[in-house]
Amino acid sequence: MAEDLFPSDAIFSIRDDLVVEQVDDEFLVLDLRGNEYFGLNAVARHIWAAIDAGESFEAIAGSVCEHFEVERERATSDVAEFLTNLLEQRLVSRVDA
Amino acid sequence: MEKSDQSVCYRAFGRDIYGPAGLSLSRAPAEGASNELAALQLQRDDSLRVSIAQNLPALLHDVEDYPGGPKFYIWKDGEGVGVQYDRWRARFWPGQDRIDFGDLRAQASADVEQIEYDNFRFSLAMERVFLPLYALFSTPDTVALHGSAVVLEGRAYLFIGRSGAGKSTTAYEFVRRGARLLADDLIVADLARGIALGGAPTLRLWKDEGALPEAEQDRSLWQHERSKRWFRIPAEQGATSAVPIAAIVMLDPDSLGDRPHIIPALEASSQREAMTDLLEQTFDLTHAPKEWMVARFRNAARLVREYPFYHFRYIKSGDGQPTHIDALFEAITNLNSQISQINSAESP
Repeated sequence: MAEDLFPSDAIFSIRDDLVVEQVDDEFLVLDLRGNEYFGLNAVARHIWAAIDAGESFEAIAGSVCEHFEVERERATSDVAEFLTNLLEQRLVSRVDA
Repeated sequence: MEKSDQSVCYRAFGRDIYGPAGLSLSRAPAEGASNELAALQLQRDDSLRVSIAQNLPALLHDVEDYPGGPKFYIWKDGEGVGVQYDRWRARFWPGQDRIDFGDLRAQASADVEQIEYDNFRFSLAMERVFLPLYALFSTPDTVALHGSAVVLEGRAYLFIGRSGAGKSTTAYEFVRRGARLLADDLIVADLARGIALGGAPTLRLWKDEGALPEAEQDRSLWQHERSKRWFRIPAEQGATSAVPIAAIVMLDPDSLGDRPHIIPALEASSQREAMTDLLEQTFDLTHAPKEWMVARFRNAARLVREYPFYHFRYIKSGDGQPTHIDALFEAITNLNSQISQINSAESP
């Protein structure tokens, strides 16, 4: 289970050399290391902003659950999956570990 | 330096350019200096007559201009920028209104035909490489697109697309229908001023000798690309100024999939789709420094936010004839009249 990957007080940090531009209602993030870019939809953007604000894993999942009216379990698993992805791409790092 | 080297005033990329006589660049019109941008000097510099190919510096760019085409190098040269393309080497300092250049061949020819050929080839290097790069490196909010641009009623329409999409052919067919050619190959968009820069009335087309009767010059330049010729269209069919950008159109042949019966039309792209298309067709350095990558990305995003972007999908005809042109020309002229109406409604 993805949600088992992170303790509730896990904190993450976004790499500071990423470049973000908005087009339509999407955020595009340029990763200079690979010269690649990717898009963040509304949920991803919300999680991104929460990571950037230094919120814990539990707080991020809680805020997604509240904001997008999804069940807590679903929100936790979606946030964990997204964070796992970001960690694999080395776009964010764990700062509490 | 010979005085004759500086005797002619040309105009391209929205500025007056003083350079040696005999180049195939557009001559500046008689009615006085361009007030758009400061004049640029082209100056011969004999220290630039040595190729860097044997002793390569740390390069920013290292490619064949197109498959099998001339080598194209860019590097930092002290505070300036060094460029080598085809048989010429150039150096400029961004914002200094001067491009120094040197011919890499040991000796210049005395044969008149050979001189004309060399001048034509040098002019191409100037208008397709050195001038756009000067503009790109000297102006912060600029981005260069691989494509062709035409001008209709004072507005620039930018055609981008993958290799073989028919950008130059489309531009030529528009010129035949009364548009003016702004750029072929590289279009420099200056976002701070909302304009496209050009001055390249030479087209590279898959056509036979004499295929464009109106062409002032018609040459095949490189052994390996005999099937493509360079046609210099008359000055009155070219635009040498900076022209306000109206729209960007991605030409996309053969992508109708299972809908080949659909009449090709302009489809408005979402900004995300536009960004994907645009970044693929934006000039990039092969060894780009970080600040270049950031600027390119930010400028491309700004371009898709500020200008309408369309996709034009069509089926390429089996015999390579540009069968999409009538539909595209009609769509662009309709779009142009809509813009005219909006503009006249907005102006008091």
